Amino acid sequence: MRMLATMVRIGVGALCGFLLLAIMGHPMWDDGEEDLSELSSTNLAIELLTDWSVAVIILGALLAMAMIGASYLIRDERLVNLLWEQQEDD
Amino acid sequence: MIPAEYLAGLGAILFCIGLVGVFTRANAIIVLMCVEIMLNAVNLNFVAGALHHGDVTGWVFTAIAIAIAAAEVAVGLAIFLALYGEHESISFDDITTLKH
Repeated sequence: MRMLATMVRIGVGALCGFLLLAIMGHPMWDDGEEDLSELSSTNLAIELLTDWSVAVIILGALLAMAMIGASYLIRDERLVNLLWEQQEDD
Repeated sequence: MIPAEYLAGLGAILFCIGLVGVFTRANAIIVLMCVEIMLNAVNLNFVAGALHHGDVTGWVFTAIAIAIAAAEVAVGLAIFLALYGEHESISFDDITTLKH
């Protein structure tokens, strides 16, 4: 198992080297955009609330579902906790 | 300003660090953290692309990915808590079935 883990580390190290060469040496980086005035938080907010408004709404629903699901998963139904909650109400 | 290709390179390094963690560690919390590192590496690449092209769309994708990562962590930690209650362990070596 330990040998397998070592081999995985070596393999991922090689992948890292390949990724660095492929990504950083790509000719795409030679011709970058000079005008970066569009990159502002105001433009980000405008973009989120206009072009991506549907995605933001769907994302909100997804987050709400995730929170409800998480709280359902960690519910604790042990008798001692139920009794403690009832004592709080009294 | 940091050149965009350096940001992309940092993203690749972070992705590989996360990949090593996912493949070699058995503790569920550490694996979840490594998945988050990989997600943030992708976000870094989106930011590098936005910086390079001068387009804010990469930031939008990053914001969406961060929100999805938050939901994923919430559900993941809840699953690990439920697993701990069931198996008294969150090591992937001990948990071999999804059966109740």
